[in-house]
Order: sequence, then structure tokens, then C-alpha cells
Amino acid sequence: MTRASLRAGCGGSLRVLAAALVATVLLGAGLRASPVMAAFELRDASPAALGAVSMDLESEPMFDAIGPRAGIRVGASHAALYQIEGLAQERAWIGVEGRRGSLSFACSRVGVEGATESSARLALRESRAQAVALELDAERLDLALDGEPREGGWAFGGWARARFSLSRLDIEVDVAADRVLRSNGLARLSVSPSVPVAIRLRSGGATAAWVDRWGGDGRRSPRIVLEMPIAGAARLRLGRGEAPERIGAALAVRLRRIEVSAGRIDQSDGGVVTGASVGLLPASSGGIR
Amino acid sequence: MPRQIRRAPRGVSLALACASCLSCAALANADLLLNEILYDPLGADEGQEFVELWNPDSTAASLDGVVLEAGDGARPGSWTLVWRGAAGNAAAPGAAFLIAGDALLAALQNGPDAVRIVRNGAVLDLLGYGDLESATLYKGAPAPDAGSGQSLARLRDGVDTGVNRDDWAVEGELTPGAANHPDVRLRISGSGPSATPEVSWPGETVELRASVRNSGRLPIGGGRWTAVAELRDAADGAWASVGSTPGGSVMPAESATVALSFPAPAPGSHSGRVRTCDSGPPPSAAPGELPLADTAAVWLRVIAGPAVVNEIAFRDAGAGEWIELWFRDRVEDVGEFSIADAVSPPHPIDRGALPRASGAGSLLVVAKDPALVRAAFGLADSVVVGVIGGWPSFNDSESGGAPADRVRVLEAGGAPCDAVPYRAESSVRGGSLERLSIDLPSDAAGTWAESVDPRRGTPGRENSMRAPGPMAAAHGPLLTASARVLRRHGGVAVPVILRATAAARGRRLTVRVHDLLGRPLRTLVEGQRFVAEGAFLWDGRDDRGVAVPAGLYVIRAEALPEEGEEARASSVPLAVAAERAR
Repeated sequence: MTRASLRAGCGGSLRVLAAALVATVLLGAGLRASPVMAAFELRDASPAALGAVSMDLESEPMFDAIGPRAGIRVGASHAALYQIEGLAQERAWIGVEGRRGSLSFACSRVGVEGATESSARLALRESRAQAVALELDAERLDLALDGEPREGGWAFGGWARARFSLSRLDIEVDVAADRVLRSNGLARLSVSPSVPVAIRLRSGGATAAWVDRWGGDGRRSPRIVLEMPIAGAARLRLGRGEAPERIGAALAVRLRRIEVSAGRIDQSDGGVVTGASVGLLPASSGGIR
Repeated sequence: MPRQIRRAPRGVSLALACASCLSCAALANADLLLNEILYDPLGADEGQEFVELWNPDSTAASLDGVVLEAGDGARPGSWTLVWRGAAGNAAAPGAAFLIAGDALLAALQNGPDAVRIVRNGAVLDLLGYGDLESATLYKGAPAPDAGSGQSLARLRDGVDTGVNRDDWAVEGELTPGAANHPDVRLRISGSGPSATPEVSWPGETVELRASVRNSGRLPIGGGRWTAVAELRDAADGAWASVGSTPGGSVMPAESATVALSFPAPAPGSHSGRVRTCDSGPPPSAAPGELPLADTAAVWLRVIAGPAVVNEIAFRDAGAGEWIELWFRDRVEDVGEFSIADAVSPPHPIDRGALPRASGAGSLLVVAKDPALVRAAFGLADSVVVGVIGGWPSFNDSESGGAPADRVRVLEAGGAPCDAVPYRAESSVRGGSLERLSIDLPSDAAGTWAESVDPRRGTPGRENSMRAPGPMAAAHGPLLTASARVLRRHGGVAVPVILRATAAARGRRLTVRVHDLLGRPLRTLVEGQRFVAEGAFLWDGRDDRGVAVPAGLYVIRAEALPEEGEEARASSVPLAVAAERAR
């Protein structure tokens, strides 16, 4: 590490301190939590998430925007879950991305007729170009079942990401406190916090990542994700995870500013989730980060 | 046969007249006799009572000046005019003369009482019945008192021994205007035929069963008569035979049961009947006389509706007895429907002062004590109603192998709308019986299951137990679920019934509950072979016995690969609701 160059910008040390503090507090909160197993666990079944075998986390875009100009990202996805007729997730998102950060809003609905979980999520994120970036998010979660009163509430969480460069290799470390603050309605539904962690190695447009999510009961869900560019206008994301054992793949193709992608997860016990999405990328998006 | 009746009484009557004179000096010539009397009909008395006279002579008897009087058992000597013969009235020789309906000037009293016929002050015949004290009210000894719906009938038409007790007997089979006991008579018993099931479903076999009694004096040989089941065509009103069976031999005063089976007709209400008739031409019957012919009507329904029994609380779990009706179609007035059990008369639903409509798909609770049910289950006044004329108490114990009772819903004309026989053992915890599906036959035991609701019933709301959809074909899903939502009340889960379908028959199954991320939470079945369609429960807990949180889950069934059989899997979604306070 002595040869590593820490490229923290102005105020970076403060953000590092804040990130560390937030992570520590939130880790503690997560460890006190009840098992991560309730409504709203499936958040994102878009192809980007399927390729990363991470339906329990917000997905990283397959085409990122790192350019200096502000742009709008918008898209929608549909996923069919476990080959059950009518069981699907619909998701739509819109975001404004700029040099200093981004503001995004996503809403999703998963379920069958008469039983749905829905969420609306607002996230404010500092630019990833910075050495340390923070993200704050707020979610509104609702469970609607036929013949039952609607249940739901608010959840808040945050992410901290540190970015290092080592020669031609960029290293990112993410620690998050997911849904660490919850309203009573969600506590009633046993929605509990968790601590997602990730380490990413980026080089030459390819990415290798180790991702895990720690639940309060010690439950873990480690996964490895590989992502590579294909001919500049396409990207392939492959993932393999445990608990449950699963593999995933996603292919995204960019035609000018339009992104079309498809993905699939196969679980070891035969469960299959497939999804497709279409979106509009920010003007400055590129296949190489 | 009529000749025998005419000839015998003539000789006998003289002897009997002498005997009568010994016991009742007031009697004059016994040319006219009382032969049958109904003083306590079922239901309202008015218009239903009758008195039958008999002319035992070989010539017609004028009834001009003959009066029929009723005597009050509590006030001996007090006689009330009931009927007066007019100039044109006459009783045919060896035949009955009926006095009924509007012809009766006063009501006949239930026993102990008496009736007599008088001509010119002379008493021709006297019948006292019941526990009479005054000897002026009977001959020799009073006849027994007949119960409701029964008549008192002379044992031998036109034969009088001078002792009422010996000459008269209680008769369940009324024969107004006809001989009580001719040589040959076959009659379908008064209760009429019964249909089993009373409300059938397409594909079921309907059986009409009737008791046929030989009320004549001679045996009726086997094969001499035939029983026929007929249904009326709704379009043209014509009767069409749907089954017949040759009758067996029946001894006098004995009965034979006939059973006629046929496939359930088209859905709807049907008018049916059972008819007995001669197998061939009647050998010695007088013209127009068909002693083996009788007819009794019966209603049939195929597929219950529009008011369908959806829940039955035949045990009193604190709120009294009640049933829940589900309306398949809109009805303009629920007061047109009646509730009954297997034996009780119909009790109309108390809809209030004005007609009360009920929409298709709506529920209505009919209770013995509506206020109690409202209070116990927190129901609105409009959801629970009572019945008029007392509750038809449902049995909660069985006798023999028969069902404990039958809950019947009848339409205005008495046609069945739904009928559900049940067994007491169906309710182990004292809970109500819930219909698993409106589409299942009413009379099938598998259609009903005891409520698993903590309050032992779900009047006015969705049943706690529901059946999965129709059984899947072999290529269909391996698994179906009885509900989409698993609910909990006061810490008690209402289990969801999971049914392995025909597609799983003979296969080894693994069934697990997963969350939406695919994480297995509970193993319900681990490789067991399903030799038939089977069912099992999920109580909303994981493998550690901990209740899973609210949310959506997937129940995945996998048929394991075996020799000649490929692996296959199917899943059903299931939601778990948040805990609801008791």
C-alpha cells in the first residue's frame, strides 16, 4: 500500500472519516438486526442485476457515465420470476447524472394479482470519480395483499465507496448500511438492515468484483461478478453466487444512446429468473470506464 | 273387488247393527257409516279437514236430511253442526262420499272429541276418539287419537262391530273419497319420493327412492307393477321417463322400496315424479280404476343456486347455530328462500318489512340468534338475518350410519336450491364447516372442511379453507394451493393446503418454500412418493419453526428424475400477510 497513490480530492479525508464512521455505526446496527428474510428483499431483477446475481441489491449500470456533462438516464425493465405465470417484477428508473454526482429515482413492483410488493427509491450519490463517495437513499416500501390492509413504511440507508488506483488497476471498496433506519410500519413487517460490501477491480474496461451481503443473523450471500466489454458497444456481465447457489449472465448492447439488455439467473434447484430492459443513456455514457 | 265390498257388509251389517244396538241404544239403521276422518291435517287445518261417509248398501243412499255433527269431549251433549246433506246429495252404493273443504261448516276438533251422523234425530253412526270419559261420545270404546297429518280410518270399509276402538285405526296414508282398504291398492307413501343427492352435480347419478305400500287386502305379486321415474320437460311440459324398475311382491300392509337411478339432467331446477303402474293391463279392475297406479312429485336441482350454502355452524360455539349463504346470481328478495333441516318444514328468511335484494357474489348469514352472531363476529346488521317461525335446529350427533342432518335452502315453491348433508365428525374443534369451493358438489364430504379460523368460523367473510382449482391434468402443474394468502390471527396461522395434483401421481416429490430471492426456507416434502393425489399444509414457518415475515414466497415442487421419467418442476406463489391482532 505504500506504493499506492491515494487520489483523494479536496475534503477527501473528511469523507473518508465520515464513511468509516457511518460504516461502523451501520455495521453494528446490521448485526443487531433480525434475519434478512422478509418482504422487499427482491429489489432489482433488471438484466444488470441478474448478471450480477444480485437481485437483493440495487444494480450497477452496465454502461456508466463518467463524462463531465450532465445527462439523463431513464429506462424500464421486466423480469419473469421462477416461471410462474403472472409473477413478475416491473421496474422503471430515471436519473440525472453530472460531474459531481447523481440523483436517481426508481420504482418497482413485484408480485402476482392480488399480492404485490412495491417500492420507490430516491438516491443521492456523489460522483464515483472522487476518491471517497457517499450515497444516501430513501425508500418507500408497500405490501398490498387482497383482503388485508396495506402495510408499509419508510427506510433510509447509505453507501460509502473508496476508490484507489494501483498502476493501471482501479480498486473500489463499497460498504453500505442498507435500510438502517426504518419506520414502525416496516419494523412490523420484519424489514431489517443489512450490510452489503463489495470490492471491485477495474482495468481496461473490465471489472472483477466480490460482493457480499451480511445479515443480522450471520447469513451471508457471497458472489463473484465479472464484466467485460465486447466490441465497444456491448458489455457482458457474468456472476456466480452462493446461498442460494446460482449463476447469472447479462448482455447489454448500446445503439447510440439506447441501451437494450437481457439477463438470466439460474439457481441450483431449478429456479429461473429472466429479464429484459430498454433504456436511454446519458449523453456522455461510454462502454469503458 | 267392489262386489266383495258390497256383498259382505250387507250380511255383516245386520249382525253388527244388533251389536251396535247393544252398546248404543240411540243408533238406528246403520245404513250410512263414518269411514274416515282427518281432523288434524299437517299445517293449517282450514280447507284440509275431511269426513268420509260410506254407503254399504247395494243401492244409492240419499243424504237429504242427514247431518254431520261434532261433539265436544269436554262438554258431553254439546254437538255442533258440521255439515247438512242437501236434496241432491247421495252416496253411491258400496262407495264413499266425501265431505271436505268449504262443505264443512265448522272445524273438526282434535281429540278427545267425537263426530256423528244423524238422520231425522236418529244417530246413524258415532265415532269418539281420544281419551273420552262420557260414554255418550263413543261406541263401545273410543278410537285412538290420530296425530297431525294422520287420519282415523275404518279398518274394513263399511263394516262396523259397534266398538270404535276395534273398528278404527290411525292411518298415515289418507284415502279421502276412496275405500280405505280395497282388495288391491298400491300407494306411494305420504312423505313422497326422496332424491339423493337432493342437489346433484353434472356427472353424478341421481337416485329417486320411494316407499310403496300395499294398502289393499290381497298380496300383490312381483312383476305385476312397475315404478317409473319421470322428469318434466321445461319447454313443452311433457313428462319423459328417465328410468323404470319392475316392482316386487308386496304383502298387505307391507311396503317395498323402489330405487330409480339416472344421470343428473341439465343444470337447473327440475320437476320430477315417481309413478307406479300396472306392468300389463289390470286383470279385473273396473273401468277407470287403476289400483296399482299412483304418482308422487319430487323436485330435483342440478348445481346449487342461486343461494348456495357456503358455511355451516351446526355446533354452538357461543354464537348459536348459523349458516352462510353465497349468492351465485342476484336475487330480488332473499325472503323468497327458506331454511330447513332434514325433517323440519321450511322457515322463510326474515328479510324484514320490505323485499331485500342480494347481489351476485354477496354473502348473507342466516342465524338462529342474529344479534349473537353480530356481536361474536363483529358483523354489520345487514349481514346477518334470522328466520321466521323458529330455527330448524341442526343435529350435531349421528344415529346409525346416516349423516347427522341436512341443511336445506328452498325456493319459494319448495324446490331445493341447495342441500348439504353433513356428519358430526366433520367438526372436531367445534368449528364451522366451510365450503372449499362453490364449484364442488354440495353433498360430497370432500367439499367441506372445518374452519381453521381462530374464531371457529368466518360468517360474512371469506372462508378460511378453500380448495385449489380443478385438479390438473397429467401435464399440468405438480402443485396447487388452497389460498393465495396465508394469514395469521393472534399468533395462529391459517395453514394453506397444498395439493399434489394428478401430474405428481407416482412421482417422488420435493417441495420447498423459497423467498423471492430463491433462498430455501422450509422443506415440506423431501422425496416422498405420491401414490395418489395428496395434500399437505404449510403453516407459515421455516425449518427452524420460526414464523416467516410477511411478504411474497414461492413454493416449488420438483418431481425427481427416475427411470423413464424426467425431472420436472413447477411453482406456486404465496403471500404471507402481516400478523393481525385477534
